Amino acid sequence: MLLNETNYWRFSKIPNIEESNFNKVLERFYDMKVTGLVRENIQNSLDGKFKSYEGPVSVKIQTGELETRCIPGNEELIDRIRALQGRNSYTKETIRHMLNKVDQRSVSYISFEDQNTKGLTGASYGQSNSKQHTWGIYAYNKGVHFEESDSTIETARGGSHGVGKIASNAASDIHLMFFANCDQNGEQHLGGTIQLIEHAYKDQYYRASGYFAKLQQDNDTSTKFMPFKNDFHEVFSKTTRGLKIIIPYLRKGYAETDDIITSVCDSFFMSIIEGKLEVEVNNIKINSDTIHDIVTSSTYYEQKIEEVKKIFTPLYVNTYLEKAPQNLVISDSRQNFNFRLYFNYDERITKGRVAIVRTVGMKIEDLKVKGNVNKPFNAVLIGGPEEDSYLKSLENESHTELSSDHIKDPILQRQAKRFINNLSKEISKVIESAIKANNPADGMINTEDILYVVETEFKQDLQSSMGTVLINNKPVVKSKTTVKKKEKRNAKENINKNEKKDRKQTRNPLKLQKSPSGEHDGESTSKKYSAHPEMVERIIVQDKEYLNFDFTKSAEIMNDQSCDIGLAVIDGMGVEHTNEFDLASSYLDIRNPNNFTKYDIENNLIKDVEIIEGKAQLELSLLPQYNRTLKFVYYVEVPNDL
Amino acid sequence: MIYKKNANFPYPVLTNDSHSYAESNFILDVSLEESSNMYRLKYKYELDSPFLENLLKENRVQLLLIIQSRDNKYYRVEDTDQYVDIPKSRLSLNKRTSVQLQIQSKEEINFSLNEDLNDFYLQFKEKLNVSKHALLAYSNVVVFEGSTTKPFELFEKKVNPTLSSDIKIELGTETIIINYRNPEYQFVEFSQSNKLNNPYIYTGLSRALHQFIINNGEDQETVDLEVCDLPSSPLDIKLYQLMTKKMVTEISIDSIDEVIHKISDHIIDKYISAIKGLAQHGD
Repeated sequence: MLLNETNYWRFSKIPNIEESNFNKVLERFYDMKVTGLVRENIQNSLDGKFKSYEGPVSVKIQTGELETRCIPGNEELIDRIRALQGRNSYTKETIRHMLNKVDQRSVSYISFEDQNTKGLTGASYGQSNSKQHTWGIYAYNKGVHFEESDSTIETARGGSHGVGKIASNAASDIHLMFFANCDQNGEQHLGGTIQLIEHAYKDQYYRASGYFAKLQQDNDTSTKFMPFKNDFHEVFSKTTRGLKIIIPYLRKGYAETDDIITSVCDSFFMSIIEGKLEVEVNNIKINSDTIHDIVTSSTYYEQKIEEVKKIFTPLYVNTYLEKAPQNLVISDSRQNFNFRLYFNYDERITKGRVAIVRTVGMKIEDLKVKGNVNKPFNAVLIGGPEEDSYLKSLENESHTELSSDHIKDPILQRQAKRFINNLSKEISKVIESAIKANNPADGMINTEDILYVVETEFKQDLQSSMGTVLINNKPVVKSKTTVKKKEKRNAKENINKNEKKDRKQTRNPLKLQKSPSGEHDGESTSKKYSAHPEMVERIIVQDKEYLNFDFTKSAEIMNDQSCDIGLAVIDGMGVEHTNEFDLASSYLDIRNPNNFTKYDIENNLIKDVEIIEGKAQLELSLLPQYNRTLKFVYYVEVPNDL
Repeated sequence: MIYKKNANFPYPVLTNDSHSYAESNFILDVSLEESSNMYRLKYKYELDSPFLENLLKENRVQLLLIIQSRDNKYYRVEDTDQYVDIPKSRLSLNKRTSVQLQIQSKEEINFSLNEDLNDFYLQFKEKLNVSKHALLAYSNVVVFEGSTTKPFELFEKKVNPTLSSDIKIELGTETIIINYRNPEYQFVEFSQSNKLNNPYIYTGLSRALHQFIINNGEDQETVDLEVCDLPSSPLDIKLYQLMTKKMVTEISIDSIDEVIHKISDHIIDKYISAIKGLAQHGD
């Protein structure tokens, strides 16, 4: 049965106050500002990816203003905050800050909504203490993370300290966060937490953490939390499977779109390039198609390589995309770990850093290699699943640094130290050999080498796009015609895909033809274009031929009312024969299948074909002597406007 | 024969360029090995049209591997084969060799079960019959260039005191050659000499790309890299590869500088830094 109280927020009762501080983790995340918030939430989304889904996890980040009356239980929370008693200068200051914020009628918020993720399970069981019910763990426990039953996924996932969700509390002036969940059955629930301090309220002592939940009496001695069904304000709604984090009372400076975008790119450039993740920040899309434009835009990043001192993302992206990886074996004296190192030597770089990246695609740290902090290089290091789980054990709680300090077992700690030292040593070797190769030792430079640097760059590009085989001890170079895979038509996130398509297909499939006499365009009365076969659809069924022309990608014709259409035969060798085919002796009549307008043939051209919304359709009746096996290319003529 | 030039067939054909099949691809990759008297062409393909895959299974269509060198050779291959062996006496790899995979009908094929077509063709599929020996699909083309001596070099430099100009840019068959009349023009005594030569590199690239457009453009003004045939000159192939790798899709006389910017790694920027460095250090 549900206890008969109308409250939204639950604080557990305790016999007395023992701890007078705020949760320590809050402060650490507070220091990491918006970067920490973005990292924790996106990492959770990546971890929650559908196992069977191959496309990217998508995360939508939105910021805005929210009226406080729309925040469920806002008044209750303000009552609690007013009851807090600081017992040291730090807590006093924090409470003062909270009290300064609670009188606002409208506050800013940020939300992170993910898709193609599992969401949490078992919300309807509430606080069930079952490993399968991830809602119960996420909503009502601290410092616990739910383990994947599949061990390879468990090692690839990001978090393991189980403190991630507190990053969201830390971003709120009053340490408040909500999470809206929609599970595989479409069940929608809203949960939330607030991190205060242990306090007295109406003659009773309470724990520091408050939960947005109903209380259900299980038996005489125990109660459990049950979530609310989500029918709150639209900012809190999550209607597709997955999780949405909502943080009201967002701290000042956390809502800058540009900062959020760079935070996403800084931590997750690899996931995004690899197509494992796409993020939308206030309608700006960051995906594998756009990330290159973002990191090379001076709006977001310093573009002068000499000036790159703190944020290295544009360099990492360039290194990862342009350089071939080399293998790097690093030992912790007990076991060897195999990494791939993408390494770039560029004399304009003033600070040399190595991005340590986990397979899930999240950067852990900008590693400073001992003695090489100011060397002109940039590198990206990534391992496999085994390396991943080792790196994970070396990470500090905020996933931002490799260290051995937090490891308790002295043997493991020694191994970790050894590993971190060896990592630096191996990378130093690579750096040194690159410096040597680029700076010949003596003062007199070999004149043969003046083109060497430029030449090597081109060579690398050529080698990566053309393979060679040695045949008769001579290299034979292999190349392929370009293949662009077609988009899937039934993909779930059609909106994104369509935009991608538009970007790729801006190339105009119509090509202007010069008249044979070479006269200038302005002088002839009509313009002739060849229509690339991709914009024409053609089929013969029984004694009818159907043609469809799509001019929507060709601005020149798009707005014309009509055009003339001619054609040329393509023979078995791919050669065009312009005057071989006689329209009049092949087609009985030609008309528009939609309105039955007849089209005439004149000078071997189909005249005045109507263009309706950029498309022209024809239905042609065939004469018996028509050669049904021929292949064509089509020409389109329109009057010259000039 | 290998289909490179796209044309409008009187029925839908699966190719990687046309949209007749809404989302299917037919992608070929070939690798080459040799033994003492044989070349072995190992091929892999990716076909994701359920309709055609099914026809293959039912043995109603035939896979054909086409190898075009001096002449055309056809190999009927089975779904399960992974390579063909060709005696060295019958295949010369000194010239360009192109390989394509095709699917041909072995009997009249009715298309009414073909759900892979695009919306235009779907409305006709019930009535569509394609005759025996008709081409139903063709893949991309894998090309092996005749043996080149400098497969990956783009530039060469020479010093020639008899030159009638200080610098001369020449386009060789495989490389761009920068000729200097005086070795001094290479800035050899400067530590940054490689960067100080970048303006010559720039000029060389500009010249070569201009020639590329003349060689490969239908109107000598633009080349659409997504549909043009693979260039025949070894130098043009290298430029083509560099451009497609950097996602350049079209080059025209007007866009040569942009293309150089994309395919080269900041050569002007590096030149400027080098000059600034010299100015500051006065060396």
